[in-house]
Amino acid sequence: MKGFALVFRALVAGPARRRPARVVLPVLGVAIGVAAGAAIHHANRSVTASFREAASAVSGRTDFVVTGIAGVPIEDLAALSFLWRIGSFAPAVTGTAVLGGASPEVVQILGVDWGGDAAVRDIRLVEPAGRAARAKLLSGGSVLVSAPFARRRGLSPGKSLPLVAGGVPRVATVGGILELSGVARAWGGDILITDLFTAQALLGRPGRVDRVDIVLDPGVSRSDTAREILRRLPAGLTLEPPGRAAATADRMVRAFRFNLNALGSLTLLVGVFLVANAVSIAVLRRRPEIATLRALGAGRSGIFAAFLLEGLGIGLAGTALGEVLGLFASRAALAAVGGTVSRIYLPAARIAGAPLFDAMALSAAMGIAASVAATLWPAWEATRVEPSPAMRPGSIEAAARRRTGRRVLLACAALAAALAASRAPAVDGFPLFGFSAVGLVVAALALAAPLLVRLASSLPGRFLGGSLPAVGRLATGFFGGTSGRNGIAVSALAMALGMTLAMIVTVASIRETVRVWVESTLRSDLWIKADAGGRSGIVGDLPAEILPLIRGMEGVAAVDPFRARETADAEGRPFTLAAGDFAVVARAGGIPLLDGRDPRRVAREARERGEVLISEPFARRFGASAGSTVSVGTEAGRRDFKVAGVYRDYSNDRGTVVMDRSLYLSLFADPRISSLAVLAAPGQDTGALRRRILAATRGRYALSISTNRELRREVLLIFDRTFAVTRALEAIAIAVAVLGIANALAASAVERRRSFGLLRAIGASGGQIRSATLLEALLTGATGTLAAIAAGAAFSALLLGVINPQSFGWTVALRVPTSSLCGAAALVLAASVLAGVLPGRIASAVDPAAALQEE
Amino acid sequence: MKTLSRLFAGAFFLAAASSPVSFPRDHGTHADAAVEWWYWTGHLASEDGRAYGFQLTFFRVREMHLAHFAWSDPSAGKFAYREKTHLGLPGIAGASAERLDVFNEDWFARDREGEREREGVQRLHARSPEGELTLALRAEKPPVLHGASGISRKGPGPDDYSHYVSIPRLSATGTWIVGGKTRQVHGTAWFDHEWGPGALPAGAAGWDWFAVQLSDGSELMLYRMRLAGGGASPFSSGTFIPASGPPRTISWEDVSLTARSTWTSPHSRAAYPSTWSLAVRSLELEATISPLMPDQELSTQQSTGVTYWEGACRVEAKRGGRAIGGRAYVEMTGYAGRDVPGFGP
Amino acid sequence: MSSDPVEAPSVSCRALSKVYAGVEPIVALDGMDLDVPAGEFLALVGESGSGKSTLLHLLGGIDRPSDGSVRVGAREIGSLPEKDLVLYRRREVGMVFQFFNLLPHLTVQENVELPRRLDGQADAAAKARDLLERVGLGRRGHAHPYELSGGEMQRVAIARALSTGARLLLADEPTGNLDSRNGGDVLSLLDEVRRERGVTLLLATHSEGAAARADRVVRMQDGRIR
Repeated sequence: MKGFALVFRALVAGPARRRPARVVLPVLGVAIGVAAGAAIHHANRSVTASFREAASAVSGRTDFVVTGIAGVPIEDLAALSFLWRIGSFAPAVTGTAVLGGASPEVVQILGVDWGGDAAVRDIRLVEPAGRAARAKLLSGGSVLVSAPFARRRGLSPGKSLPLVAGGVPRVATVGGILELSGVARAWGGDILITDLFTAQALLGRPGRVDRVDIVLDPGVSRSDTAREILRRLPAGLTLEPPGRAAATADRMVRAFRFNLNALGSLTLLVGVFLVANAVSIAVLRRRPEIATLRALGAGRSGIFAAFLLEGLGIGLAGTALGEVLGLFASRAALAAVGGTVSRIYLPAARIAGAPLFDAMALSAAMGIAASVAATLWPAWEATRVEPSPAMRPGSIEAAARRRTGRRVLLACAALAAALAASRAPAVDGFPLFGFSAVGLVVAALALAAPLLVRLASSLPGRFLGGSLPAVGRLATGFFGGTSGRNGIAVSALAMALGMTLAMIVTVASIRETVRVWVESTLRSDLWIKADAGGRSGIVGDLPAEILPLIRGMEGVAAVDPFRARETADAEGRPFTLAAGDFAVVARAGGIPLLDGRDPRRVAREARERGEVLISEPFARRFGASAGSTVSVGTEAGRRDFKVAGVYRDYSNDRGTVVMDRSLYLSLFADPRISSLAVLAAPGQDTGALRRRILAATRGRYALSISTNRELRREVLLIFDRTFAVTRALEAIAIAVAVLGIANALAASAVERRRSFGLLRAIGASGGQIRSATLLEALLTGATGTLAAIAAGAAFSALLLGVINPQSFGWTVALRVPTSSLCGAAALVLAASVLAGVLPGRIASAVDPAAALQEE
Repeated sequence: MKTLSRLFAGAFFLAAASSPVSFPRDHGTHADAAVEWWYWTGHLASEDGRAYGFQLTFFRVREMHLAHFAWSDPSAGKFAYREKTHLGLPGIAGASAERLDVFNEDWFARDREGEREREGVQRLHARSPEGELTLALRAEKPPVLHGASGISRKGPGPDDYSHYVSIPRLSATGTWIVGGKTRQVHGTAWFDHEWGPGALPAGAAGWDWFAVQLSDGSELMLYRMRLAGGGASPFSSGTFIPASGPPRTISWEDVSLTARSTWTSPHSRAAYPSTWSLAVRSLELEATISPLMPDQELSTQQSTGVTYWEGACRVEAKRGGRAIGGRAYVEMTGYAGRDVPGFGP
Repeated sequence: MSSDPVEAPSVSCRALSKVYAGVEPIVALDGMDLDVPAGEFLALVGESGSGKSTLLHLLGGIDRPSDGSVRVGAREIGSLPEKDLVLYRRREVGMVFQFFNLLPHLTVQENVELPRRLDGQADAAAKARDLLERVGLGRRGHAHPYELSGGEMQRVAIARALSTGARLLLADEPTGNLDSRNGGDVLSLLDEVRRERGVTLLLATHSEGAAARADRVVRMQDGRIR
């Protein structure tokens, strides 16, 4: 043990103490990776936890939940009355309301069976209601609000609370303040609880509830009861375990979350490359010491363990620092991710921060494990050092060269495997193999990198021959000479930049595709939705009676009421069921069909034949196509509908089945409208029409009306916001990779002291040495960039051709935003050269006399 | 007299007091009345001779449906009660507007079994962890309308009234199932049905209600509205139903009622009169009414929020000098202090 | 660009001192006086730490004296500005070391070319080929240093030292890492090229045998001439 302590001190601790700067960069790299990982993981966990928390708070002690696409007709509750002998059930109405004022916000409304609901959910008032308060509550129109919500908005019992629900401005009265426990925990307390009838009235949905929660007595067989419930339930209603809602919500954002996780891991991966790099350098530099120690009888395992400990040390230090950074980063990431989720997916979702501990523990474990794993190879190489004292300089590189063939073979195998993986279908709607292919390309990159470095270093000489200036020759010599180390730096950069380039291509392609799609789809002049408090997307819905009102207005040519409800197939895979007026489509078009047929004719025929249109993501996810049938659970039971056509849709990755409104209304007693598209009469000024509609509905309805142009802008705005986090992560990964270049060069500068001393002695100026180092940096950057372009092309192909269609179901037209790509590449090249500045200084400052004196 | 009339105040409409009462429709619910209840009390005996008392009440306060079920087992000294609260929703709680058909979860009272109508026979069912009661009640007398054509005045105000219908004697047969063991029970029950605005008259502090079934085949309903300052409100009154012949309204001047002892609840600390001396001069009736067991107090925190005493009592009486027996159910409200400041107008 | 120096320089040191700073400052040269006529082959003999290498470093312009003067030809090197010192090293002096100090990542040919190319001379390649031919390694130009034997490497180093046409050649223990046969060859080569090219040659060694080949031997101890 004592012996090992000395080995460790000689090889690791001592040098680290002497040159602490050497470990600063890898520590920093791991720290950034760990911080990004922790932040992203935490944000993702928070999203999932918030969904789960909200769902479990709302579900309470529920064993089963009964739901229906358009809710559960209240009469159908009678079918469940047999349950009273073995448990209880509690119907509930859910919806959203928009609270106005200086800071509009969206809150969840939950209407329950007062009194009876206690069997399922805990609704606890901060102070037990006095008798007067009870009476008020019973008289309807009162809502209970959570304590934090009341504090935030300055509410107390008896105060009135103006809100927009169901597209209509209303005033509720605060009936009591809830403890932040039980159901009030949902969405961090952003929930209004009221009696079921008041909720129905607020949301304009009389005669329906949205869910029925069933709690069985202890000892009652769940499965037998489930069967019995299903036997008695009217057609069109479904029975689910309570976690389903959270799982569905989670699934909605799964692809989004996964993208973030992948990018978060990329950052850590780049950090790991830095560790591998640093330890390889350490091994190279300390070969004489290793040889001496071996000669003195140190075993291979001791050497191995010493370097592994170095990796562990770097991992620990980086992780510790990363956790501190993560504390700050997680706040920013949570805000960004939570914002996106509530903006795009669930408007009433307030994403509360989950406990940080799990995310930090996981990222710490990953940071440390990855650092140690990154050390395995260099540490093993260290054990290969023979105790013979006279190792010739360069012989390691020679050995590396001998391994080239094997590495190239492996790289080719990885590429072949990647190609095979890219052909494999999604696993449970998840592009597992697609992501595996990305991983394999990364592996191929890492394997081939040293060869790339040597190739790149020989190119200038080959093309310029003797006319290559001495500085250039020096740079290429240095660059190619340490192909192993530079290979790591190059592949880290190629990976980070390649992923970034691919993301740029992907995002640009999707954005352009969406833009074109929006142009061709958004034909309407005005788009009306319930006031959403300034939010994009749809919050709440509108009463059906607004339809004739708008339709009858002067200057309105046609109105297309759109209705969308979330549902799921028999296996619980979520999709959207929508209804629109196919008669309007038959006139105006606006649903671009995949096969290029005229949507007007297809819509007309679908309307006549009672057929449906499906979106492209639906077609992909459910394997449906024009001519096949899709099954929809209606209020009259599951019904099959023939698919008239598949249309392009980029607004929803779950997939949509859309039917004519008249067909929808015959299947569901759900006349409400999610949004309303208005076609103006020819020559009608849309601004004037909007003013007229607003004037005609003022006081009665709370509407938000966008013009065509505003809506288009909004769509792209949402799009850009969604990818904001992605951009930040890419930038971080690149920054870490550039640090890697700086690290490799700095290490080389230190290692090549003797060479630099000699160069100075034979007449090289400091400037020449600096230039050579900068040139080497440029070469590293350029090779990395070239590799990144190749990798980026592969990543782009995988993202656009495999991962994106498999996870979103979208066909995306490739668009290569040359200027952005060039910009990114130029930026990275410039950053690489900058990364050479400090190493250049170290190199040129070498005192030749001292350097040449050293052994 | 029923608890809720004190509770849920707010005279928001005046019922059409003039429409004549008809059955079976008026055993059904009256949606235009803010407050309504169906009230069964009764004395039962099992085949082994054990005596029990029960109370099953369905309340409706606008859209809220509440129910209380109490079971007295004097020989075991056990008294248990359960309560339920729901919004009126299909399969959960509700009442028919056409006939007697009121339910809360799986408790119900109706005049039919399945689709088969059996006029005059009421089916009652209630279940609690203590046991499950299923009864068939046969009316031995036609419905009695209290007050003037079924309108029972509670006070001077325009909303101080209720429609009040009783069936004062029903023969009961059925089962009481405890722990899987079925006991055949039979006995006598009393049914009250009231609906109206539900206002508590000004100045009232509580009331005492008596439903007395005498062994000579007659019945007496009495209620005393106690004023906050003490003494009985002039609107306190009663109805006497002779063994045969039309019912008679009893005015409070005709009645003397004194508490002979008190019982202090260990739960609410409220002191209730425990044994009553009752005399109705015009009937030549003198009676002593004493509880079968002292503790028959309900504290219904999960539903009405009211604490009251409602219990089975025995009656020893003299009618025209002749000793007769009888049974009674007595309700006393307004004794638990915290229950007093209600929603008086 | 000035062409190669025309004739071999003389070397003259006066009261030359070099002190290395530190906790205990090391006096490497202690007021040393030395004159070497142009074209002379001078051997400096002494133990390790006697100041031989330091003297060569000062003469080679890769270190500066603490005190005193060091003249090469007509020029005071000790006070040359850095820019001129770089040119001096590049053009006027060649150095050969015990550990060869070839750049491992460059070929033999490139190593020899290097000084001349650093100077921007277009004929570096041709000159390097000639020199390699001269040192007997004309066929090994494409090899990498690690493929050569020690003697071969030292010959490459000599070729490199001569490649800019320097007329002052400083060899610091050039045979220290070689066996006696290879060492002898190297010394012979140094002497030959000195004669051929008219070079002033200073050889630092602690081998009396090596010193015996010199025109003159100066013995050093503790930074002074003994």
